[in-house]
Amino acid sequence: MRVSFKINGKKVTLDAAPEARLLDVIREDLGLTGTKEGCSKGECGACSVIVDGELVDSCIFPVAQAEGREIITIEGLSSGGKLHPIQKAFIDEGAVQCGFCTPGMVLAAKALLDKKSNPSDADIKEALSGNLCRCTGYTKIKNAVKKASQNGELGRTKKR
Amino acid sequence: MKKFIRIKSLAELGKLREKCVFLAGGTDIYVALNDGALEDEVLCDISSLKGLDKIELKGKNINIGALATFASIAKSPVIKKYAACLAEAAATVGSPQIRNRATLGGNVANGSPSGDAIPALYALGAVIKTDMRSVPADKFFTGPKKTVLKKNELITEISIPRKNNKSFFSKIGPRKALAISKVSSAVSLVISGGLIREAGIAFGAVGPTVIRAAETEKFLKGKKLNKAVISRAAKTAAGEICPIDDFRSTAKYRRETAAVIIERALLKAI
Repeated sequence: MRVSFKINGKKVTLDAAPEARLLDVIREDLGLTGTKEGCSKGECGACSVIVDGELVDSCIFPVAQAEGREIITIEGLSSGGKLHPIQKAFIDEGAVQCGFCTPGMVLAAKALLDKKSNPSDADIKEALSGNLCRCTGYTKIKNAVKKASQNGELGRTKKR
Repeated sequence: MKKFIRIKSLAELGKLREKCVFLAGGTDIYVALNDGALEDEVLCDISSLKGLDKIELKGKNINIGALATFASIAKSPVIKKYAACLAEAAATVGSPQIRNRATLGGNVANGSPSGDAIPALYALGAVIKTDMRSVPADKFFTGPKKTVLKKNELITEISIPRKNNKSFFSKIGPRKALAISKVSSAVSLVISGGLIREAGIAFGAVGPTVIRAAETEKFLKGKKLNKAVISRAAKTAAGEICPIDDFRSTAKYRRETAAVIIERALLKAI
């Protein structure tokens, strides 16, 4: 089928099998390999992307359902070579080890902060609860999200 | 998967020739597909059917469209007020990513004995409406992942009678997020004049389907809720379930835990 959607602000139209996983279309057809495939069961969150403002697992999302929608992947966060405040906070707090879970974690944080700019610790924990990190732990990741929420720049980056 | 089709209106349902597996949020079906299952099935995407995601108070009922997501159910003021145990259950399903996609209709159609919404639907006396008929929730499931649904019969709405009730959901799993229940329970009580007028109690993951604790409900009716009554109710309930040993838990643990969670839920109602 012919499917059109917006990804990271850019409109794309492509041919895909309707049942194709959004994850594969993003990685293979669009070459955006920042979105990772982990468990393929919707349990690890490595493939998380934002669709119309909501965090979803792209490994269990048929591309047919992406028609006309607006998708944000990790590649859509930085702008003009400048990192998004959430990405910056992850670096500052040392919230990255192997990095495989990081794109999903950052997008989970963005989905939260776009709705709730001043989240409680419990909000942060819940927002990250669908994303697994197998390297280190969650303390630094939580700290990074907290730090990003306290960054005054955040409000200005809501659109990206 | 053999074929992928999409329907845009309920009128198209009647024209479907082949037997279909309906696809909404895909959180069960895509996991199966990724595992290589459903090879010979025709998938029919119903996610763009209009109006099936509504949650509304209508007359004496709360009507929830089959395509309402768990995220929307968990935050719905109407459901929180009149069907609190369903809102609580919805909030424990999977993860934020799953709740944004998974639908109530899908949870029911999947028919898992550990489906988190189902004990709440039993306790609340919900009715499952399809394009053909209405079936009470506790008559809908016939075995593990088996329901009364016929070929291409589609769940359209879940209707819950509005009552002045108190209701609670509990779930025991290995962790808070993304855990399939070892045992779950829902309880709904209508209390007036200090006495229990109506009781709905159901358990998940402790039998081939979700199980209604009918004896316990009968025992509670007309009683005043106190510690002695609650302890007796918990014992009765533990005798009404039929848990098994499997890779998630043991029958013994499930039976003991079922008594504990129902006791805690009833204590909250005092």
